[in-house]
Amino acid sequence: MLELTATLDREVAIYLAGETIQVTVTVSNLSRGKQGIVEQLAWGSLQLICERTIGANSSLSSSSATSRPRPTTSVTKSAATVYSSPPNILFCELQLGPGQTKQFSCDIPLSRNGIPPTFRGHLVKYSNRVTVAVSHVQEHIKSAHLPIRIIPSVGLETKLSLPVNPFLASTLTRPSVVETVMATVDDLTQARKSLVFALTHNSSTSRVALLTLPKKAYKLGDDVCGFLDFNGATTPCVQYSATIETEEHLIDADVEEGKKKMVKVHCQTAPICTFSPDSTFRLSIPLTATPTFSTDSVQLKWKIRFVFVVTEKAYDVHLNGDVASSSAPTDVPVESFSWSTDLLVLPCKPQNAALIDNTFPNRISMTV
Amino acid sequence: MFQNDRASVLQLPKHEKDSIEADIRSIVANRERRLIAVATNDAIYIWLANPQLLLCSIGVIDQTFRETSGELKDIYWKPDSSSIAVTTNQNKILIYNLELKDDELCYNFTDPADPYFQRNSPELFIKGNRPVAHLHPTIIINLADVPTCCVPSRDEFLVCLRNGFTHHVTWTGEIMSSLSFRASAIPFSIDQLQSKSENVTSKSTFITDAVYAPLLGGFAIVLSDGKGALLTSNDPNFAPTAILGVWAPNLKDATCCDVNHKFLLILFGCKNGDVCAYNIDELNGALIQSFRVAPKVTNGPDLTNRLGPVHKITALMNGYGFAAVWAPKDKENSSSISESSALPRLVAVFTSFGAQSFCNLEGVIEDHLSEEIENDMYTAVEWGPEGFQLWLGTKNDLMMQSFVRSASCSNPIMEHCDRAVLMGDSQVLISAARDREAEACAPHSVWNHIAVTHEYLSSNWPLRYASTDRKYKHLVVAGDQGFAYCSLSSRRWKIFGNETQEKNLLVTGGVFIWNDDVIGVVGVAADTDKSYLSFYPMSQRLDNRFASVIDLEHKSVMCALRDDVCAVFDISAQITLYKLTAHLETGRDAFTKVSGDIVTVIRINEIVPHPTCIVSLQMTQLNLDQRGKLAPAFYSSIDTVLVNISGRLITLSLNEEGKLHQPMVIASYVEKMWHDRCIVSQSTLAQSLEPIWNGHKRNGSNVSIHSVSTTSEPSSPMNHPCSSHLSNALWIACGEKGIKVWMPLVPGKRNVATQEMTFIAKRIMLPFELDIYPIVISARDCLAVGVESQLQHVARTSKNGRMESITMYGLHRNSEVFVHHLLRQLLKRNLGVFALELAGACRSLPHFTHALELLLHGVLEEEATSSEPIPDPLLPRCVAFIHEFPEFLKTVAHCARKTELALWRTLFDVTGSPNALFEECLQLKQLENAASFVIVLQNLETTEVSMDQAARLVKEALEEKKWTIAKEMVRFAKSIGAEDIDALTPPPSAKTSLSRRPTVSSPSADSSTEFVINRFQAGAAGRLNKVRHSQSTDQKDPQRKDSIGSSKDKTALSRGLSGELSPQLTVNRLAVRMTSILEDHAWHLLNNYWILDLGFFWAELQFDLLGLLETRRKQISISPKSTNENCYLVDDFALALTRLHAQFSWPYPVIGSQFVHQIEKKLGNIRVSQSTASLNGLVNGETSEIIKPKARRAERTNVDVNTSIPLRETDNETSEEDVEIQEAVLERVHGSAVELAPVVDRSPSTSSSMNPVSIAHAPATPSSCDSRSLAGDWQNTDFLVGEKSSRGNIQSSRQIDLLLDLFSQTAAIDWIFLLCLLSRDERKLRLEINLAMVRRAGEKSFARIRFACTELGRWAVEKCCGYVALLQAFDAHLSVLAEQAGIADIKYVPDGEKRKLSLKSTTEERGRKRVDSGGATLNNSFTKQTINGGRRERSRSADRAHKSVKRYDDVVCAEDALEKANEEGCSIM
Repeated sequence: MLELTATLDREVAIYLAGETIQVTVTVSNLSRGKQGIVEQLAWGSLQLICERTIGANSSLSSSSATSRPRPTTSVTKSAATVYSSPPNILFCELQLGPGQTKQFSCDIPLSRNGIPPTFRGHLVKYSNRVTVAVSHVQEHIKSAHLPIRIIPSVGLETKLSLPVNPFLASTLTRPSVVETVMATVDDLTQARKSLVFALTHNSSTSRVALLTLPKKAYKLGDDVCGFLDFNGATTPCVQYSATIETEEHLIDADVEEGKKKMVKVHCQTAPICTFSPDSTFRLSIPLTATPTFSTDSVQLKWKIRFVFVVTEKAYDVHLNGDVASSSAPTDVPVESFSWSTDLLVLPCKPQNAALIDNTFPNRISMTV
Repeated sequence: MFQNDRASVLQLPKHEKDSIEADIRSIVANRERRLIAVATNDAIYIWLANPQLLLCSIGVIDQTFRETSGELKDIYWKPDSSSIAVTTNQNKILIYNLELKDDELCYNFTDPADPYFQRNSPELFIKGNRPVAHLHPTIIINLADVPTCCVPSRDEFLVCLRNGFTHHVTWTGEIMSSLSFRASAIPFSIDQLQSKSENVTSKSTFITDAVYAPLLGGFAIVLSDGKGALLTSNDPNFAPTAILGVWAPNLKDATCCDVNHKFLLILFGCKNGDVCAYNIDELNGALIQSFRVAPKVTNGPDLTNRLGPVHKITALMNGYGFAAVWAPKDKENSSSISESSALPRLVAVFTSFGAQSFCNLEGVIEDHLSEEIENDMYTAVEWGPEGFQLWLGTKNDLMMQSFVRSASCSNPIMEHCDRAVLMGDSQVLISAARDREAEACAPHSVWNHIAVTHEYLSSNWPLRYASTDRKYKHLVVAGDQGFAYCSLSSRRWKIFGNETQEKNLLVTGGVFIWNDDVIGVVGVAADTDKSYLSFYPMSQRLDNRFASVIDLEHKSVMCALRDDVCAVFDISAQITLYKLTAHLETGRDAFTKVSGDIVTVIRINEIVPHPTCIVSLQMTQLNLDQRGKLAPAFYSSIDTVLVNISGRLITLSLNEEGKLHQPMVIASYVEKMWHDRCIVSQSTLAQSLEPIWNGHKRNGSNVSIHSVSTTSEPSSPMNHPCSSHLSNALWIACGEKGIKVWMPLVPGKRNVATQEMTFIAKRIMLPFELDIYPIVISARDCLAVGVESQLQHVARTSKNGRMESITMYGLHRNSEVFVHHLLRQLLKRNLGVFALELAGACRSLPHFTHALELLLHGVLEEEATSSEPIPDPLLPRCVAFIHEFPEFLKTVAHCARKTELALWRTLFDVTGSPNALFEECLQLKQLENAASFVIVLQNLETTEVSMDQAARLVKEALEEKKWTIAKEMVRFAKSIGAEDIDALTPPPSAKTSLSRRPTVSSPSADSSTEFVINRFQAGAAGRLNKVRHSQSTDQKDPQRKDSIGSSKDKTALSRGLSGELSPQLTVNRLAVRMTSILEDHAWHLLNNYWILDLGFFWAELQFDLLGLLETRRKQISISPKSTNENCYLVDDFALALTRLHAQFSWPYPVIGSQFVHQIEKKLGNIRVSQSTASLNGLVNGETSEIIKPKARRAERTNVDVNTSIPLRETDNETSEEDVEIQEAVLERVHGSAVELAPVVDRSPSTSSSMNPVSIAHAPATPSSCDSRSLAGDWQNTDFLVGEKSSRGNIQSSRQIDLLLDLFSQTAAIDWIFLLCLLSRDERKLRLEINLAMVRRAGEKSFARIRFACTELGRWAVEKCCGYVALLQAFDAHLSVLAEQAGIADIKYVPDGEKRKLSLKSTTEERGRKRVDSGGATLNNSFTKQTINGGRRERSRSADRAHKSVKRYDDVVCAEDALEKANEEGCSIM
């Protein structure tokens, strides 16, 4: 019995594109003592693979399936490998005596923009995983998969300039991929000029609210804080909802129009604002989500969507005798209007994503 | 209570168009807190708490009515919410009937028919109860005087009047005159037993505020004279004769009051802004003050002198806190008010025992507060449902602020989380895993927001309970009815499929997750009113079909869980422990069934005044005895049940007979507690304890401070969670009174034999204070984690289009280290051994050094600043303690740097002189710490001493290549004013009034210490500034580096640098000395050929290397022969070259295969040998080489050998005269063996004559071209010496380039030559070493490098044949140049006999070699060649006049080739 354990250099398997995954593979012979046997492996290899799964409901419906049958096998489902790293041969003809343990380490540099991010959409799924495969002599190949979450990077295109004095270079360490990306993200997400929207319906005369958003670009884990001002509105708003959602857009000619788009709600608030002159909201972009990205088969857009429930007339106070008494209306005729604007969601530090995301363990083991 | 949003403003519809503003007087929630009644001066509004909708309102608009009845003041609810009473500022009380129609709903939003305008999101459809409400005026009660306050109850309400009378009034408006009493008639005493009673002296005294306190047996009242009291009576009707007042002692200025029922506290607000709380002494019924607090604002507007009386206090219904609002200070009372602006609106929230958890002014910048309105204050405050809302009223607005609180309030299951888990009315926030925070960015603001699904919440708002499992995999929440749970990774919620089942389940005692797969619920069935404990398996749908139900006797209000034992506390004050067992139900859809067996029942009704009073319940194990017989326990690992009754923490345990011990109170005023043992089960704990206890045993019984090994390896926190002291400690938060820890002292572990273990191991209660209020106390890493609400700004657009910002609250976690408090407390109590053990267990913590520093600093600050002499100072003990750790020097150094100078003497009196510490640092090579001590020395010691030590440190730092320290020290030396360091030289500027001298000498005079301290401090302040200044320049470093690095103009740089280094007169002696040290070091580096270090030295210290090298150049040019006096010449070029290789990690050149091929081609017609064949089969050779690595060494020796076969002695590398080569060279070659591989491959079969180098000596055929021309043809010398990949890395080559640049500026021609050689850059050589350079450097220097070239050539032949061709090319250039310069005949003859000898011997060798390899004919050609060479060079120089420099060599080469073609027997060389 050999136990094979692949461990990553991080506690949670979340990486930015462009980083390097360091994998340590430990092979140990579990048999102990005198009766233990020397185990042998023909070879062992390590590879990063990105698979794309096109959702069954979209393109494998009968009509499209007949029009263009996808080459599938029983093993791969509808998955297609869209990226695979060059395989790393860890060892050949490895022999381990009883109780013996050997360690191999391997770096897998992630391409900056060649690998699609890990994404679980409704229409398309991209799953990245490190596959460890070993083979006994004259036996089947055995493999284990370690899922990796890859967050798309930004800002790696700009060439990093080296510090000028080479003797100071060691003290001024070069920024890592994460630092470069985060510097770009920080720069992009800085609030420069607030976005102000005067929200109206029917005609420009019937004003509903004045919306202020501090910025358009956010990173994962950020809160989108906004301010709605109902002062001076001609149409009273009784309730509104603010939603952060992603729109998944399939770029595939074969799919009919209606199935090309899928919306996922990430965070929602729906306060009653019947009596409020203004309102603030705070919506958080989950750290587990995928930032804005696009590949040749899917495009992911982030949006903030509002629905305003408006009524004709505000709460009225009637006079009744010598005391002014009023009570709430039982029925309030309402109309609702929707409005949305695009947001740009940028990557966060992978270590931050690891704070919340527990779905990507950093190790996997198998026994052969 | 924390806040994570902005207060939302609610507009009150105006009843009169012309009414000025809504002046909110009172906000009161009804009993269920679903309805909020708001009274303004002229109207009453009934609001729904969620969503915030106005249900009905009634206004007083009749002018005449208003005149007779006055303005509205306070509102009181009838407990059944059917009526409200409103007091006015005239002699009237108005009673209104509230008609609620629960079956009818208002605010039914109706969508239009057009689907385009319909709502589509379920969140937009509000559910929940929105009853139609109407207010009807019913009764007006006329009174004799103005009512001050009322106390409503079921049938009647008490009305206190301004004339001193208190009446019982029924809700129908009848005054029960028989029960009326007068404040002046009430007898007051200080306790309820024997003390003498007295009446209020003044007849005009009346009750201004009163609150019913049923659990305290009466009413809490505030009298008009500012006194507070508790009115009790043994008569249920509160008959006037039976009333007894109990004074709240030391209370003279009360303004308002409220009662915390759970903690049995009466809260009084005072005129001076304090809030004080009283509880009842159990023995005599007297009131004892529990705490007194004032709002604190650390980072916002100043409150002192602006804080007015407390306007209103309102305690949370569940008792876990209270809120208070303040009025600004009265203008008449304080004259100073005009200077500072009035108090802004102030509201603060405190925990039960007075720790402030929120203040609205915290972090507010006063200028940002909206335009100040006179007397702007919160006029009313009230808690909404479950304390998730705080309703606030001002003169204009009604506001609702939402709050979140810790999920552990009234939910003991969540008390021991290692993360902060907060819950709001509709969401749960979980903080990030702490062990992953180290590398994250701003982890303190990362929260896992879990919004409870709308499907559940819309009809069950608000949340009441939230629990997670220990691994944070699932979350279960319970609201009004039923419960819901979700998986935290997928966020999928499960709710009851059957809504009636949900409606029928009322959670009363909490929800929890047991065994990771079962949800436990303690609740009541709404239809049968039966209590039960039920379990729902997570694997199934949420349905009662799958539930396992355990019936309970009484309604339960609290539950606790440890391992598989569940404890339930019910309203009969009975704790029942159930042992839970899971069975897997067999069948098709198998699910887990849970059964419970009663383990034990504990009745504690005698100690529980009322079931409400239970704050917390935990099962734990306090007995730490691991050996011997087991102590009596309720269940295997539960020997103690901890209950917190109204703040008194009580242990319940069994005695030997299995009966309940007398309950023991271990602490009072307890709000919260943490005990790791409540969650960690016996087995796991025992495992983790094992190594520690073994450690204790090892130490033996005679443990002295020294024998406890602090040097033992600190184990990693993973396998060694924490010391048994900490993991078994019970942490207690006492609100305003700070934190306490009840720590076991585990004494028996040391001398087991002698000491009898008691039931509860000996424990000690240590108090300490934290700056934050802890949510989590982590015993594992000694960190307290808290939460604070932080302001953040959100942009808004104002009406006129301008951008403004509004503030919103965000939640942040904060944490605090506290182990130093514990250490200090232990040391104070002479428990140093335990302190050492504790510290030993914490050593692996990242903040351990910091904690030691805090310990030392804290003790030092306290004892050094104490005005009275301390009889038993802690400082020596503390220092001795820290001395046990290797961090001692660092701790002292850091502490010194962070404390005032005035305290240094106290510190160093104990630790020993800073000089001694400095010496120790140097010895241990802790140079950073030594640097800290130099700063100290500079202030405490004489100039000479500090100068000497600083110089020593710099030397040491340079030696150790700690450039930063050296740089810091040099900068420090420079920053010291000359007047400070050198008293002999008159200060250039006379502005120094603070001299160090008196302060240094004065402490010897013991008298008038105070005076000394004062003066010392004065001096200290000045000096401290200087020190800081030097530090601040440090911070500018990076910029400076950049500017220097980026400036291409090095001369400008050097000017700047030299200017900085020698600002002539102003420079102090120390700086001068530093400069000389630096210079010496630069010479030292240069002389030893440590060129890379020189580069670092130059760059890091910004040393004026140019100036230095310039001096060197001048000296050399003056007297080139006087080597190594003070102008270090390169003496041993071979050594220098090998050092360069070693330092730059630069691989040695190998012969390029192309070159070999080319030569082979050229020679092909003469010789075809076995070896050439092997050259062709290079690849094969390589692979075979890899497979047989063992052969490598022997073969490499061959490489060396085959160039000089006759000289067998060179085989033996150890016998070489140059040791350095061996040390650096070989290792490097070995490391990059692949580079050498081609050579290696060839060697085995290479016969002596067939080596590329020996080819060079072989007679060339007429067709062949010589190697020099070959080199010339190939501009890139890579061709000569192998592929690009065998060069050093980019970094090294950039370093070499920079140094080359430096040397070329100073015409250090020898180093230029060497560096060019190293980088194998012939073009560079041609570029750098030109005629101008030769002129600058001097003829002699040039001659030296020519000599060096030949000498190296000789060396290369022996040691590194890769260099041979290159050196030949270089030599060619040099000789051309020599001719150009007309100094070809000047030869350098090295001094000393040895040199000559070696030269001679090498020439001989060479001769012999050639004889051997080439034969006699070769010899002839050799001599001929030299002659030819000479001729050629002349012809070249002639050519030079009309050929461009660039193309020149090529042309010459071509000529040469022609020339040579004509000559016969011309050698390649």
